[in-house]
Amino acid sequence: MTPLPFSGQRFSIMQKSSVLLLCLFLSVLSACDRTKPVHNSRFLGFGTIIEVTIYGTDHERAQQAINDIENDIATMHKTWHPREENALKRTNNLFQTTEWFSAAPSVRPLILKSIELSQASQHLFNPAIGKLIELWGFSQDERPVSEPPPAEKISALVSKQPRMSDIELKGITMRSKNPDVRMDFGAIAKGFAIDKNIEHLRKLKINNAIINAGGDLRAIGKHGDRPWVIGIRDPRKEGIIASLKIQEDESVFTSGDYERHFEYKGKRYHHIIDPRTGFPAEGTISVTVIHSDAATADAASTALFIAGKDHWHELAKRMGIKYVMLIDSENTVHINPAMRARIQFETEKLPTINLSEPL
Amino acid sequence: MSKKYNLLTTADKMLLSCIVVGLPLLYFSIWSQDLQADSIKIWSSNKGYQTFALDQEQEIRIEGANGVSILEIHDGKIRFVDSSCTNKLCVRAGWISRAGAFVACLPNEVSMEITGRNGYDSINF
Repeated sequence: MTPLPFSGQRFSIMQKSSVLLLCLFLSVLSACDRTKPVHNSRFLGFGTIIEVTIYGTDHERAQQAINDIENDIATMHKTWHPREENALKRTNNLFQTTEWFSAAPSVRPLILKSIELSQASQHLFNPAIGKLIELWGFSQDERPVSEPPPAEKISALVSKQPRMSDIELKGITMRSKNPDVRMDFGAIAKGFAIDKNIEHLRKLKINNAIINAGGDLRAIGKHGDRPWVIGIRDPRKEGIIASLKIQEDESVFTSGDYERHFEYKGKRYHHIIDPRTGFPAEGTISVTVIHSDAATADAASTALFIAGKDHWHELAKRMGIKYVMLIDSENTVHINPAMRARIQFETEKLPTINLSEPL
Repeated sequence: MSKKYNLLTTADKMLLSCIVVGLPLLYFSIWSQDLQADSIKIWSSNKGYQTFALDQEQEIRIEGANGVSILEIHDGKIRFVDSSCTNKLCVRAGWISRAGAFVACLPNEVSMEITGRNGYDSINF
């Protein structure tokens, strides 16, 4: 029999096996580490909680990437916040003059994207109504509980009809034809920022990740050999209403009346303002959309929320959105067949479902 | 080597004992996470994640960005009892008990969520 390499030394079998056991134990511990290939990190950004999940990248590299994202989002938040002294505010002030001026490079791409999406949504997604948002107090991080603004003030602002199409761009200059345009990017900034940071992750060769900003997310790649699984929270009750599997690269965005809101004398006032009335849009509880890019998903979920149960379908078609679920104020789920096929309801009782024509 | 060890060599014995002891160890280290009951993950911007058992009744004080948030675990549920914020949306959210449920107090930068077997990779709302 060939002697074991260390059998020449006078160790007892007990000693030998305990050394081996120790080795095994250590390898078990390290195997432990390898069974958790997911890196998960949270930080504050855009006045909400940002969660980044990365699969299959070593922790150090993943954390590096997450730090980049955190810095980037902090910068974007400062640049685009409606109440800070920043490039957005300077731009808004110059819009009031209706004169031409040179556009700030930090806001120009967001303006271009917003003009395009605003047009496609027939101006239901309308970031030009910053004055209305300000009047309602929803541009503040935490709105104090107080009465809603007076109806005359609201209708005065609505009658000015500020729209993104009032903005003209020529080379590096721009102007607004309408002095009452004041931009508030609350319904697109998060989506736009997520897209930029997904691009950044891809450049770093990180191809399996989720960026979730306050409940709205874009997921790329997979969780190992299975797809990413997303739970959609019930807009009225505790827990998850439905789940879905991500197909390689998709954004899942929900606009809901429960997100930013206040209650005054028993009535709920939420943050999704219908630009046609100047009041919170009625009849919808939440809209969930799936789309490839996050900026479009962000704007579309807001626009479809305002369109409501009677008009969401035609607007989704116009905007090229393929997956929509709208819950109306009677708790009826309006859904297109492709979305229905992808969604698994997780509630004990199936909700009332109104299946639409295909999109 | 004496005759006694003919059937099993020293190496065989060591291998066997490693398998006998090591396999259950390995099994539990890999699967125990999934065998665990639902638990609570509390996050605060200054302390990061903290994990609590959902079946252990207690009051938890979390130092947030503006002050203290008080959370209560009772009867397999958890809620915000109070928090350093003006709107108290977190307190009004009430009890949560099911995996995937999530409540945050943004002004105080504290959030809580229930994680469990039916965990999702990310929650949309």
